[in-house]
Amino acid sequence: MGSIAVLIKHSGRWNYEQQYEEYISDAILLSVNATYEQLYTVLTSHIDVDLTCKFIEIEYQLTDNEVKIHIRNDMGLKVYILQKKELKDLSNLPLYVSVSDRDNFSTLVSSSLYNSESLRMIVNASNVEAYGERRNMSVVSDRNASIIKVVIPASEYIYTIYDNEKYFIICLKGKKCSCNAFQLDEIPCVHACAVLDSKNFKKGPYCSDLYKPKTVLQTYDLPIYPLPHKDDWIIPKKILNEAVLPQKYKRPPGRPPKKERGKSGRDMFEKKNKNYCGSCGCKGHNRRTYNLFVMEGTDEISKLPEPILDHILSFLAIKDAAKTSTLSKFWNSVWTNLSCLDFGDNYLHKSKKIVDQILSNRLNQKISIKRFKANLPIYLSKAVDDWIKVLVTCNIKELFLDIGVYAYNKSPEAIFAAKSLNVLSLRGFKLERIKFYFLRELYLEDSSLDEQFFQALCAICSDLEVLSLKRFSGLISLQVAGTFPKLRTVKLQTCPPKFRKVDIVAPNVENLYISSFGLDLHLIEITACKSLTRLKLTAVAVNDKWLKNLLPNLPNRTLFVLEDRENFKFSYDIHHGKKGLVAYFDPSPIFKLKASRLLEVEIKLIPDPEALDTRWYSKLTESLGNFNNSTATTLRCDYDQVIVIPKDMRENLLPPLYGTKRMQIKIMDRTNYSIVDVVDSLLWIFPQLDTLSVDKGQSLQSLIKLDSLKEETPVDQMNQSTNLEEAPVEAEEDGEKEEKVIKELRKIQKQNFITQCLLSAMLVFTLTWQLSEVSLILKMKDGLNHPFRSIGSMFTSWIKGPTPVKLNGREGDLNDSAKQLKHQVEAMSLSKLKVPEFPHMELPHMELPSLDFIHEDD
Amino acid sequence: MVKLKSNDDKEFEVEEAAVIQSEMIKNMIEDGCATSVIPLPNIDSKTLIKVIEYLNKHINMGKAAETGEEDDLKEFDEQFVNMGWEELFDVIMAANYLNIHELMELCCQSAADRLKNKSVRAVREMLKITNDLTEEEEQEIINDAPWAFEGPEIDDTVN
Repeated sequence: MGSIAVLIKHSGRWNYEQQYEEYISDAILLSVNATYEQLYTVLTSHIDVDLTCKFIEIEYQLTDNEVKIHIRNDMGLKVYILQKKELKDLSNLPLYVSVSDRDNFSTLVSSSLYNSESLRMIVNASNVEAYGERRNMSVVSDRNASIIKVVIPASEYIYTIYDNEKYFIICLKGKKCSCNAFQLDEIPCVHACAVLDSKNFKKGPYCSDLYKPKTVLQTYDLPIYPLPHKDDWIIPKKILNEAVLPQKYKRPPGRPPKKERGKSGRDMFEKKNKNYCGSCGCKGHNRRTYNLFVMEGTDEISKLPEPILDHILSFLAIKDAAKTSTLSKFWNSVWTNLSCLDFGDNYLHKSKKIVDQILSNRLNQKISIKRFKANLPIYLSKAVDDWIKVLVTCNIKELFLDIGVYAYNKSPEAIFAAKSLNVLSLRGFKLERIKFYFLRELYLEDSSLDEQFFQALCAICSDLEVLSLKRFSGLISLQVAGTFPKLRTVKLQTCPPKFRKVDIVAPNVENLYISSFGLDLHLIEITACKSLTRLKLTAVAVNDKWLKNLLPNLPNRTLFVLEDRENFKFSYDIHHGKKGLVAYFDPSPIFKLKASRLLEVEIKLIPDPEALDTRWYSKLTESLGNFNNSTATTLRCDYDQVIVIPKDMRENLLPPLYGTKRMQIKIMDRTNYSIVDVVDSLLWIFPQLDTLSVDKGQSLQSLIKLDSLKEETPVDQMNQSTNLEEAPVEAEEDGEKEEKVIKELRKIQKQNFITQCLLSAMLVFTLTWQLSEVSLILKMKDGLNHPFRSIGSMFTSWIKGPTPVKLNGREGDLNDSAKQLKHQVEAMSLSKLKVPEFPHMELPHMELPSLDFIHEDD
Repeated sequence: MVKLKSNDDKEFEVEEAAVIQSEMIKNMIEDGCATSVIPLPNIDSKTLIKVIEYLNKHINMGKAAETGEEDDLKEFDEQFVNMGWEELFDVIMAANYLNIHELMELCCQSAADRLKNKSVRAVREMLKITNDLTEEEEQEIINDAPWAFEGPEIDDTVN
């Protein structure tokens, strides 16, 4: 197309008379098709502007003293070029280029945009109007002008219009009309149009500039900046405080329209007061026909949603689940969609066909299977691959397969296609690799594994939560190095003879069970497992040093069980109590770790009753001595022989636990020795004891024995010498507590009864004595009322007294506490025992009148 | 303490330690939505009492397991599920709504145990199920899976 030479004036400034001063003149060649961007880059490079902090504005003036027109985009440039084409002389229409700082940009933009003066000037410039706008724009009012009858001029600008029997006044100069539409819309209203038509004026100039395409273009000429995130908006408080309420309902005038009646004719003409059933409160039947209706009416279990029903059926073996299909249509559909198929134990010997049939049904109807459990004999192993293929297509999540011991020593390749498998339990398979990225639980039994497999497992299954290996072979060591962040439970059962090392670094492991075969396994590194709550080691060779390292690293409240298959005479539950204790106990000479002061030990003694000889007891006392410093000790044993140390031995040995002050003992079976012997022995073991709790027993008898012992036996005498300040019998079970309370209550009752008898006897005695004194008859009359009343209340309390005791004692089980709850729902005291008011409370009433008498006598 | 409100407008105060066994309420507490009363529009007070009883008993599962109370808990569970069908389903629905996994498992297991080895007639009577299958349809189902309906050891008693 060619180029145009354009004069550029830059680096100058605008003075107040809108003259560009102190500028440098320059010239460029501008292509006719140039874009704004090109012009911008040409100019910036020409003038050498640093674009990072400055920008340029390109303007031109149509004629001198007229407002400047900005070129801000391609459209603006096009307009300029169109005009420049007509005035090809270089000196005409020069471009003024001014350089501004970026910071001022926004203020500049806003000032130039909202300067209404400049806007109007632009609009007025006729040349500019030529682009993109019809030359004689006229706005035609949508209102019907034909009704306007007369236009009466009042002056050059002001007209009166007679419209529909109303007068309107119009001022053309002020663009106003008394109908207000002209001022508001800024488009000539009906009346203005009528005036303009009558004067043959064009309507365009009387429209607001805002409606003209030029202004619209001008408005969007500016770059529009993206909004920041909603959170960063600065909203004035005034707006934030504004509550937007819905419009208030306003009842329309007049009678509301009639609604069609929703009732059917049958409802209208039916009997009004219907009968309800007396037993269930439902309509439609009465008490006599209740059974009949309920039998076919309400259907309890079917109201449960299908997923829950599915869950219930998943607990049933396949046969029971299948039977439910004939219950009803709903149940039939639950069965066909059942997601858990449990073929149970030894079932597949009979019928491989059943599985085939069920699986093919699911496959045909595209029903997904969540869980599949089967226990199949070896000769069906061929079918397994086919089944697995079907299961994989059915999107299996949990797979349990058991084919017996090492029978099918081949890895089931087809399983690896199940990408979304969560739980895998296999018995009797050989696994060489693993591909399940979402595996959460893995149980392997009688499986042959190798290092490679385990490495793959570590690398892939990062979601693993449960890892259980039982009777595995092929592994020499098991190392878990922090790749299972979610691992909770590790079970290694019956480790093979060559298996030597376990090293687990998993911070979230809670349960760890390791059982070995013989004592081959002797290196167990679990100090990194900081959240262990249960640790059970069976037949594992550990030593003092290992324990010393491990125990400080175990968190509080860890149940730590060590069992030794060989010498199963003792088993120890090391119970980490609340206080962060560390200790270990063993009567055998292997471990001799002294207990710390903070320890609350729980020792469980499971001896062989045959082997209770002198050696055993000396070993016991020796090992008990390790816990001398512990604050509290709990002893648990099945037989009382265990704890009753023969008297002749006591003479030769030192009491092992002279430092312990608090102890609790739990004996399951106490028949061989009397409670005196047991307590005697205990007091020898714990000479400094001040609190002894006995937790035992389903039988109340043993407690009573113990209780009576507390009062009468030599223990009382021992109190003085041994500081046995109190020996409360803290029975822990509810039942025991209740029994105890009953007992105490009875005792108190008995005491009260005696007191009351004595008191009443005294009363009667005083009365007769007073009666004999004639001079006091009047006074006595006065006083007689009170004692009789009190005697009456005394008798009633005897009668009432025992009943609440029975109630609370015998029926305090949980069902009844729930019943109580129904009555006093607000008070949530489940299974809490209520101590009844005993007649003891009434004693003061009794005493007062009698005292009165004594005073009167005086 | 957390306050729960059943659908018949009764309020229950439960210890937080007990109530967080419910996943739903635990989430609510973590999100800070449990400052006042938690309304449970799906559960009536009778069922809620049952559920709270269970929760209170099971407050410290771990603790119970360590000491010898595991047997106690088992016994309690056995007693707990010893209720009518309707009540059991209410509890199941509540457990499902509150998302108490242990309770759900317990009740579903109990329901399944009751259905075990029962004849179709007995189950229908127990659950008051209306048979909407025609005889032909029923026969067809039986023919499809004849293995499920044979065997002598079927219990026909209703309880």
